Amino acid sequence: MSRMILYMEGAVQGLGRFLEADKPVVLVFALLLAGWLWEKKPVGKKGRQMFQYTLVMSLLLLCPITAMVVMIYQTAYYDYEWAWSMVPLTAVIAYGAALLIERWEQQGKRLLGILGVAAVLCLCGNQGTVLTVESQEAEAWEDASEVLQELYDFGMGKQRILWAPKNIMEQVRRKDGKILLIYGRDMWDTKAGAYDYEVYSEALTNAYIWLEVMTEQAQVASIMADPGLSFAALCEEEDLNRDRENHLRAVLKAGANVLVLPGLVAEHIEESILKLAAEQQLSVQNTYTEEYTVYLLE
Amino acid sequence: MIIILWILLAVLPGILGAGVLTIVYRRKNKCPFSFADSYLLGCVACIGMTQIAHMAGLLGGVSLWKTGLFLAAWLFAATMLCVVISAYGYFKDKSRYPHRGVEGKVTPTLLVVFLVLVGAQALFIYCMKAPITLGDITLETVQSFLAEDGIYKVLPLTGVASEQGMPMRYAILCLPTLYAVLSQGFGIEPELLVCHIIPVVVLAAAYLAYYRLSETLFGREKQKKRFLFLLMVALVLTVSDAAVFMDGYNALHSGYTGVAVRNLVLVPYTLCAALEGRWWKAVLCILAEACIVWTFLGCGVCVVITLGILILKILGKHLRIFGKREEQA
Repeated sequence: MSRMILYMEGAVQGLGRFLEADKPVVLVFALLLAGWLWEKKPVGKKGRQMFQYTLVMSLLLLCPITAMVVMIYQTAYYDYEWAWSMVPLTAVIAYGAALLIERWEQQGKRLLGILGVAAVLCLCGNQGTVLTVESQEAEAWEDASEVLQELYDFGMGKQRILWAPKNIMEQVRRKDGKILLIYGRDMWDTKAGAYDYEVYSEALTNAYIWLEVMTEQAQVASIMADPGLSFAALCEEEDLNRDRENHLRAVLKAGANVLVLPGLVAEHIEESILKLAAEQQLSVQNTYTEEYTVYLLE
Repeated sequence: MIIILWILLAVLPGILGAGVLTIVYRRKNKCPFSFADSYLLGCVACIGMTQIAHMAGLLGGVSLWKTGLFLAAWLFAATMLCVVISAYGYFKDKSRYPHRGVEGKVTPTLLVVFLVLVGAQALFIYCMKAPITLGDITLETVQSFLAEDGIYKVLPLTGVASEQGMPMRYAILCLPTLYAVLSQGFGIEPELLVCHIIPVVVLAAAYLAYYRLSETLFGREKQKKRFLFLLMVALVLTVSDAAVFMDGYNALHSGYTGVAVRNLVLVPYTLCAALEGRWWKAVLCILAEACIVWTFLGCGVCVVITLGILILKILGKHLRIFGKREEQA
């Protein structure tokens, strides 16, 4: 029963998210209405069947109860928005637009028709947020490449098991399958966690949270150019460092032999790393990239 | 080697599909040849053959290198057979083969606009960094296969051996094996192949699928309307990339994923097959979807489209939602 309620909530909330992102769906309904109201029959038999199918599927997905059934069918892995893959939105929009332009062409207004349709489509579409994502990805890719280059310079004789901020960890295995991670992208991307049955320990999860908080604050410090807020300075703060040895111990226990920490690392953090490495009879070497300090334990 | 890969990706599915169509339509002399049909069927055939090789590698514990060799060998054999069959079919009945459309010519301006739009999309895909799509681990999986020279020997996200195992309905999906085999066989960086080369091929296949759909909706001879339809498709794909579930996002940023191949290629092709009543093609698309996307016991979007259109056809005489007035008149 609780699962059904979850599906129902997903269907109701998912519709709002879907309409917010996919405005062209409104065009689909406009075209369906136009197709019904046209006096002549410009829509051929197959076009008519495509419109009928689109209308029926859309109504099924708009009604929360039938949408819930569709969501169960497509499995819980996919959100409500993916159910709209069953509706041929692109085909219907393009078909309707082509028919509209043909109608205007008969009135001698073909160019106006094409420009009008293109303008409506552009206004309903994405207003240009993707380039921002591209630059963030490119930056993360560069950071990961620098870290990997340091590892290659050290030599890949021994198997490398990495612990790093998540923007590095999520890129590393996309670049090199030989580098292992103590936890993967499924630590923060729940969808990626659907691919296996592994569960991370609480200690490892806490270590991840600690590193991400430190990394985020170091990035803020970097933007604000305030040395008082640097990673090294933050490490001095008692609240953030109460359990740092426990976090580092959990990471080393998980097998990590490459630690990547943001910026310049404070002395007492380094001392902790050296102390814990000595407990396991490991030697420590370190190197630097533009943004990170890399510790190699062997 | 990258040029050879491009040539193979452009030609091989077409040859396979042409052979299949020649066999299927051997008694139907008037069924015209269509390059789009051949290529799309060939892609579906490639997915099927990869699936078999993938299952052999997964269940048999065979190394990736041997799996690739097996796949290459029987793709080669199938291609040679299809070349012979297609050549025989061509010389037996040349009248099936392409003829020029008789209604409406595509104006140079529209053609240029379309080519610029599609060219810009292809260039964008090839040059820009592909963002990480939440829930997708294709590239990590390919890297794992290459690092371990085996299929699912380790967990893709961490690289360590699995203690609890993986869900079988994910492990049976064959696209990562195909990409790993191509990367290993042609010596191409996995990131370049998966995030840049494959999405361009999927984009081209998507336009072929919509072109084939336009033939169903407008008729073979109406070239101008079909081209206008294709131009509108290109525009929709360009502007609709605001979220991961939209066709534009799939085309421009995650064309290598199974859902992108399904939404961009299999969905329009299934729609086309169902509207024309060629159910065998729809069934092939359903099977192909089960091989590349996580579905409910193999039943996914293509099943819904096929059954939906089938039910509408059966109920066709009782439904008058569109075109009512003319029929009443």
